[in-house]
Parts: sequence; C-alpha cells; structure tokens
Amino acid sequence: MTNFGKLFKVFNRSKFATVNQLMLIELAVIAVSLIWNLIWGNLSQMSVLGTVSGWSGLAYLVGFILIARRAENAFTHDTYRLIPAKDTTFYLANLVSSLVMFLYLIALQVILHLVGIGIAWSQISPELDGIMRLRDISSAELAKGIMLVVLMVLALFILALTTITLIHLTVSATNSFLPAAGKRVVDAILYIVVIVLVVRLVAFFFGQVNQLMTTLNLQGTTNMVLPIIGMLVLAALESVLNIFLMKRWVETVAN
Amino acid sequence: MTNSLTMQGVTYKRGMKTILHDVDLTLAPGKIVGLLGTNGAGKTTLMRLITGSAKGKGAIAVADHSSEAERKQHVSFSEQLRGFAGNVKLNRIVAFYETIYGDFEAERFADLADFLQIDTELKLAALSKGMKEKLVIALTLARRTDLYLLDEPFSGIDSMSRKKIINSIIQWKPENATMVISDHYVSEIAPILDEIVVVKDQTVYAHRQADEIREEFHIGVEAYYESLYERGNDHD
Repeated sequence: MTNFGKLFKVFNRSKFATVNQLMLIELAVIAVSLIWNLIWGNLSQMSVLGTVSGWSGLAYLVGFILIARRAENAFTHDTYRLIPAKDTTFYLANLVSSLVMFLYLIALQVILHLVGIGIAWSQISPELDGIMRLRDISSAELAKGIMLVVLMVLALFILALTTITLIHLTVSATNSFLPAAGKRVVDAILYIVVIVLVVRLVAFFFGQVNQLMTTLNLQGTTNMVLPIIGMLVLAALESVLNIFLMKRWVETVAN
Repeated sequence: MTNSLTMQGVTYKRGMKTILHDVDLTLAPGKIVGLLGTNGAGKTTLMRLITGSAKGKGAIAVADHSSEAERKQHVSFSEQLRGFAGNVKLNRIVAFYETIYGDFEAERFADLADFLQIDTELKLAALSKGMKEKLVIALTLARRTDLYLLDEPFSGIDSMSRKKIINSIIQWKPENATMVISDHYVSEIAPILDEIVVVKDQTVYAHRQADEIREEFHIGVEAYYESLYERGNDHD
C-alpha cells in the first residue's frame, strides 16, 4: 500500500510547480509595475513595498484557486484514485499538501514584503515606532496579533478547501446516481448554500482583519480564537463527510 | 490456487439506469482473457468496478482481496493519464508511477519503452494517440501484479505495431497473472486468448475457454462471438 509520505510527495509535486509558475508571473508583473513607475518618475523608496502589497492579494487569490483545482483534480481522476491507499490517507495527504503549498506561497509573499520593507525601512521605521507608542503596543503583542491573523487565514483556507471538496464530491456523486431532474435540484440547492457561505465567511474574515488593522485593538484579537476553533471543527466535520462520499459514491471520470 | 478475480452478484446503475446486473465472474490465474462486447455494452464499466473507479453493489475480490484499497494494489489498469497536465515530461510520469506503486519495476518499464520506441524526454501533449496508448501499455505492464486490465489498448496504434505488441504480450505477463483485454479487433487478439468473456444484455452473457469453442463448435473465437449476436443463444 502507498503510504502517507509517498502520497504527500506526489500531491506536492504538481502544486509546487503551479505555485512556482505563479510566483514567476507575479515577479514579472512587479518588475513591469516598477519600470512603469520609473518611466513616470514615481519611483520612491516605498515603491517596491507598495507594488508587492498591491499584487500580493491577487497572487493569494489565484494561488488558492490553482491549489484547490489541483487538489480537486485528484478526487475524480484515475491517475490518482487508482493509487493503492485508504481513502482517509488519500484525502488527508491531499489536504495537508494543499495546506503546505499555501504556506509556501505565504512564505514567498513574506519574503517579497521583507525585501520591500528593507528598502523602505528608513521611512517606515519612525512611523511604526510612532504608531506603537501612540497605541501603547509592545512588540510581543504585535507578534501575537500577526500570528492570530495568520492562524485565521490558515483556518479559513482549510475550511474553504474542505467546503469546495464537499461541494465537488456531492455534485460528482449526484451526477453519477441521480436522474437529470434530481441533479438540477441538488445543483440549485448547492449554488444557494455556496453563495450564502462565501458571503458570510468573507464578511466575517474582513470584519476581524479590519478591526485589527484599523484600530490595532489587540485585546480584540482574543475574540478571534473561538472562531478559529469553530472553523477547524467545521472543516473536520466536512472532511468526515468527504471521506464517506469518496468511499461510497464518488466515481472517477471514465477512460 | 487463488483466483485472480471473483465477482458475485455485481450490479451497477448510473442515473437510475441499469448498466450491469447480476454479474458473476471468476477468472483463474495465468490466463489471457478477451473481454468482448459491442460499444456501450459495459466492458469499461466492468473494469472500473474491479478497480473501484465505479461504485456498484455486490462482491468483488482480486487475488482474494476484497477491500477497494487492497484490490488496487493487485490490479494494474490501463488508465489514460488524464490527471497529468500536457506539459509534463514522460520521465516525470514514470517517476510518479515508481513513487506510488511498490510493484512498479523501472527496468521492466525501460525494456517496454525500448520495445515500443517511447522517448521519455517528450512531453505528454507531444504524443500522438497511438504513442500515448503505447505509453499507457508500458506503464500498465511495468507493474508486477496479479491482474492486468487493458481497456481497448490498441486503439489508435498502427496495425504493424498492434501485431507486434499482441504477439509479444505473453512475454510481458508474469506467469501467474491474468490479463483481461477488451478490444474491437477480435480477430487480431483471438490467437493469444485462453478465454473470452462476452458482455451482452447488461451482464456476463458468456464465459468460455477458447479451446472449448474450437473443439465444441468447430469455429474460431471471432465467429463464435459474432454468432452470439446473429443467432442469439444458439451456442449456450
């Protein structure tokens, strides 16, 4: 039987290549933006940090979509599903590899930001000191706040992935076994559920981040712990359902 | 000796439509079996049920292993590599197989690749349909396992290569392994078949030894197969 480590390795391979391609594109876009600034005479010490921050959000979004696409591909293709492994091992290896690749994407973005901060340090440093003195925030509190936001992002990432998989596997299972009318009803219900879920989760996430970033109210971050645990519990429940669907209902795309 | 395959009371429905029902089939080890039937008869579905790619009802065991994960360990199926992107090099696909299948033999693959003239430096998208089929055959046979399922393995391959592969297939099959080949070119594969299984009327309609057909009916495998459609149930 193929063990977790080997599954993790093959799942990582394709996602790793995808993230690297995305990074190359992002670097090219950043370079073009900086050249554009240079041509128009707007290049300053803050330009790199500003440009990196500007494109970073899009890189996260595209990265998430590409990683999720790769992960979902594995559930319905014989190339992966014929691997002699238990469904639970298969599912967890796929999920963990997606998480690790997203962490890799975060690490690359952090490096880009650090380069930007390094270049603009002489300008940022006094402003940052001022804010921290004004708000009476210690470095430890700031680190704690950043850590909670990262944890929140990761929990949200895991929940988003397990939810996408749940929807994908449900559609796949119903497509195989329900007649056409039944499929349409299930699809319609799923569309409504997805829209409600996405709107609520995104609103919640931005509410939390907004509270932290605009007011730097670090006491408020303790309120983030419970939602993080909640999201992880929900992701675990969805995972149990996903594995059940894989075992009993989900077929691969025919040859 | 353990049977290579046992199927008992297997039924499969898709969209409430019955594709296969009450399939009972036992294959002894060491055989080459032709899986015959018209387009849409359910040959591919039968193979997909064995591998666990399709979910039906009933009991299926490969080399006495009935759980899906264990069955996969003992079956090598000619899957069409749809999980790979077109820009993946063939040697990466070989590395993938080596990583996930403990019974994949790199040396055996190298021999097969040499025999089938496969250039592993090429990208998947650069292969013609025939070359891709050759790659699929090489990857499937490079595993050393109990049951090989080749689903229309020669489609797209030129007639010269097809004959060459068919004539050499025995040399690539481990002695006690069973190989199931579904194909439309019945006349070409007939000489190497030990048995035939005909899928008709949504079930296994006939399962016969090739020698038995020749001795009992004094006709070849192809003629027997065609007679099942022309004259109904005359020979059973």
